[in-house]
Parts: sequence; C-alpha cells; structure tokens
Amino acid sequence: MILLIMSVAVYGLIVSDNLIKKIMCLNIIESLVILTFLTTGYQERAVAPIITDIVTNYVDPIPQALMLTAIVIGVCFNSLAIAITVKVFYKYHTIEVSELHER
Amino acid sequence: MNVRYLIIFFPLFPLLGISLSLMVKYLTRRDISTPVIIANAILQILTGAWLLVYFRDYEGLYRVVLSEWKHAIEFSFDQYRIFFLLAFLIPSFFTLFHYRKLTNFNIRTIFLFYMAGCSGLIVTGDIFNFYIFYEVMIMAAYVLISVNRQYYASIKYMIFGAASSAVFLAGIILLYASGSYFSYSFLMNLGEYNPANIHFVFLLFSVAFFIKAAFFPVSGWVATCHSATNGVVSAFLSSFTIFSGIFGLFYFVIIPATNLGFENILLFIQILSLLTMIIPALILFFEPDFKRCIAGSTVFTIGFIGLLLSSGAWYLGLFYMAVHAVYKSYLFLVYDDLVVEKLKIYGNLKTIVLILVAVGFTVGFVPSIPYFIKYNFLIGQNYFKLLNYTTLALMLGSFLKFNYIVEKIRIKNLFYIFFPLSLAAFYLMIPFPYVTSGYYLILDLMILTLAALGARTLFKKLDFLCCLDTRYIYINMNYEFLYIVILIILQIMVLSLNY
Repeated sequence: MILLIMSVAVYGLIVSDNLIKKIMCLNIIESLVILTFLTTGYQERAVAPIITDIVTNYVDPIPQALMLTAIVIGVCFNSLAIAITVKVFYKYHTIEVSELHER
Repeated sequence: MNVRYLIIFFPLFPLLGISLSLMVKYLTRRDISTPVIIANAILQILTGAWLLVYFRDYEGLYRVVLSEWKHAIEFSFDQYRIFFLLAFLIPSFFTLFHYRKLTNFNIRTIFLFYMAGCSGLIVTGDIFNFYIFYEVMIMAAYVLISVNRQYYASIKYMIFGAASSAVFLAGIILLYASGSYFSYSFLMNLGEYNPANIHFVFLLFSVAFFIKAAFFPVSGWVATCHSATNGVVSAFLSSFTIFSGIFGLFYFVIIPATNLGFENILLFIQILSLLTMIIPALILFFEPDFKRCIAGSTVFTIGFIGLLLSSGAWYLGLFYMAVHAVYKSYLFLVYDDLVVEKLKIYGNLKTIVLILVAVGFTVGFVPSIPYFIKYNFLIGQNYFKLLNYTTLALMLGSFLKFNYIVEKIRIKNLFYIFFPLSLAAFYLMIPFPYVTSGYYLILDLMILTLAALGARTLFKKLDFLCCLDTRYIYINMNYEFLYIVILIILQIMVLSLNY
C-alpha cells in the first residue's frame, strides 16, 4: 500500500505544474517514509515503551523518537515552502512551474 | 584543551552566538549580530586549526559518545574529515571582511544557523544526526538564497533538497531495519547484514547524494540557486554545502562499497561522474551569464572529484575539494566588485588578474594545483586523456568568451601581475620535469590559444544554443524529477547485476 501511494506521489511530483501540488506530493512522500519507519518498531500486542515491572513486551522506541524529529523538520519545510510560494506568487503572479521557468 | 570538548563545541559556537545576539536584541534593543558572526568565525577557525593539527597523523575513527547507551548521540573525526573541515574554514576565513553583505539582523541570525548546520555536519558521528544537521544547514540556506528576492531559485532548491532528504531518510530506515545502528563505525561492517537490503540502502543513499551533490542529470538547479544570492552565501554554498553531498556519498556509499567489493556501484558513480564533467562543461560554454558560469563550474569539479573518489584516489579527490574552496570563494566574493555588461566584465587590474588566476584554477590549467591533480590521475588512465582535453577546451572557452576589461590601472596594483607570473615560475622551474611533461604543456597552451581566439566567435555564431540547459536539457523542474526516476531505474539495473 505504501509503495502504491508513493508511486502516485512521485507521479504527481513529475507531472504537476503547480508549486503547491509539488509541495503536497513531497509531504505525502515524507509522511510515507515516516510511517514506514514507525512500522519497523511495531510488535503485535506490545505497549508503549514506558518500562515498569509488569511491562515486558513493548514497541521499539527508537523509530518513534527519531521520527518526531523528522516530523518537526517536515513542519519547518512546509511552513517555509508555503511562505516562499506566496512570495513567488506576489513577485511573478503565477505558481506554475513552466511559466516561472520562462521568466 | 581536550580534543573531545573541541569536537563537541565546534557546532555549539554559532548556536551560542544566536542565543547571545537574540538575548541582547530583545533586552537592550542593540544589534550585536555582526561582531557575533565575526567572533564565531574566528573561534571556529581557531578550533578548526587545532583539529587539523591534532588529526593530521591520526589513524582510524576518533569517537566521542555522549553516554553509555548504544543509541547515544555520537561525534567523530578522522583524517578524511580534515579536508571537509578545510572546505568550511576557507570560506569562513575569506568572508571575514565581507559580512556587511549580510544586510540585516534577521539574515545574520539565519546565517549563524547555517554555520551551525555546516559545522555539525563535519563532526557528527551518526547518520541520523547527519540528516538533522544537513536539514538545519539547508533550511537556513533556503532563506539566505531568497534575500535578493530570487524566490524561484529558493523554492527550486527547497523542492530538490526535500526530495533528496526523503530518499536519504528512507535509506536510514532501511539501514535500521536491516539491523544496523546509526554510528559511522557500523557502516564499516555492513557485510554482516542482509545483502539485498544493503544493496537497496546503497541505492537510496547514492540517489539522495547524487541530488544533493548535483551529479548529472540532476545538476540543473546549481547555476540558478548558487548565483541567486550575495557573495558570502554563494561562497559557502559552492565551497561547502554542495560538497556535503560528496561527503555523504564518500562516507555512506564509496567507503562501504569499496570495503564490501561492490564494484558495480563504484563503476556507476564513475560513469555518472564522467557525464557530470562533460555535459555541464558543454552547458557552460553556451551560458551568457558570468555568475551562472562561476556557479555552474562547481558541477564540473564535482564530477572530477566523484571520479577520483570512486576510482580509489581518495586523498587526491578530497584535496581537490579543499583547493576548490579557495578559488571558488574568491570568485564569488570578488564578483560583487565587478561591473558586468553582457559579455564584458569591467574591473580594476588587481581584480581582473586575480579573476583570471582563479579561472585558471577552475578549469585546471597549467600551472594550477588542479592541473597537477589531473596530471597525476592521467598517468595510466588513457581513456581519460581525451575527456580531459575536451572538458579543458570547453571550460576555457566558457570563461574566455567574456571580455575582461581593466578600468583603472594603479601603479601599486601592478604587483598583482607578478603573483601569477611568480606562481608559474615556481612550478615551471623547480619540479617541472618530474610533475609534467613538455608534451602536455604544449597541448594545454594550444587549447588555451584556440579557446582565446575562437570561443567568443563560436559562442556568437551558435547563439541559438544560448542557455542550453534551461532551453533544451532541464526544460523545467518536472523534467529534472523525471531524470531522477530514470537514475533510480538505471541504478536498480546496475545493482541487479551483482546477483
């Protein structure tokens, strides 16, 4: 399923002319990568990794800890990308890649 | 001082500088960001010099682990990283007197973030922190590129940066899923893990770093993005940021692939490097903008360094990278003092002479250091000779099609004429018979004469090929993404040959 959605996102990245759509496709790819990493730590019937005497079966905390950082980076990228896209629109009056390329 | 603390504090200096300048700004309304940037640069140069001296003879990987936990944050340093450190320290030194080009408090603060990312990248000892520091550096770079209101260049850089980071992150995940940890020391033992997974890790890492280091066919963004901002930022982008892609390719692909004997991957990098030398040189020949020529010539250097590293000439390639930082920083910093009108470049005698010397270094013309690096590599590599002279002719032509006009001649500036002459005399007189032969020298001089006489005429006659890259090769961003997909498919085919 992840591969299928990723293929759609990559296709969108190649064919879409609109900058916002490109940023959305990149977001989808990044989210799928994060989801893939989280699934590597998944275990059947395991609980959150808060270790007490009765908890013996818990999920791998490393992917969760690392992906929090990746999510923060993703948020920074989104906010910056959208802010600069707005600036692009104010300057060139378009956000279509093919039109921007000609200017 | 203990070298362990120097390594930890190296990326902390700019972060402390940001905290200090923000605190003073909001408490007293005084802007101390310029002296903070200069103090930070001086501290980093001194710390870097200490590290250079300490690690010049050090063998193996020096690790600084922050706790006993197996996934603890780790810093490390080794001999190879001396060259990456130099590629960072050289523009830091050159830009010490140019920080007035960073025009306001916000830009200067973001520049400190950029410095923090760059310095963290050099000393980090695990792959995930490499990703974090790279993102810190590149996020700041996106903003710094847009300071001259070149927003399209900035968004283009952002989209390619994000795409490469997503691929890199996928590689990190697969590495972890294969049972490895993130420390650089684990990369040396990848042979213990599932070979199918490791091949795929190499695929993802190499594609990520091909984009980050702007290998052909993903090099279209370099000229646009590196030429869009002011001299200080361009100097850092061209001397260090783009080479952090080479840094990653070297540490995460070339060294492990060499250790594991994955010849196909190295061969693929060699072929791509050759294309990265030839095609950008051809594109530059038809580029009418001088600043874009300076920026685009970095791609040629990257191709050559990629070729050296993937052929096993590691120290030669890394040394070339450090030398490249010197002349590229100079070219970008001096560009702001020039008056450029189409194909005419006006400047004073000192500037023009030094620009021509830097151009000689850029194209690798005798008696520059890149020439001797090329010459050393030429021995025993017959197929490379033809390529070398083709690229030399194209690169010389792309810079000599411009008219360099001296505006004012001052007597004291005549001193600068003696600088290239004395450099030439030094090389030609003492070790000449041992380093190069008269045959190669004559060939180089013939190419120089041809380029000087014919480049401008040829450029004007073939003006329909002007802006070859943007018109015909990288038609727009979508085509570049298509090239990335083709690159991935090609690499999967190459990797499948191992089975």
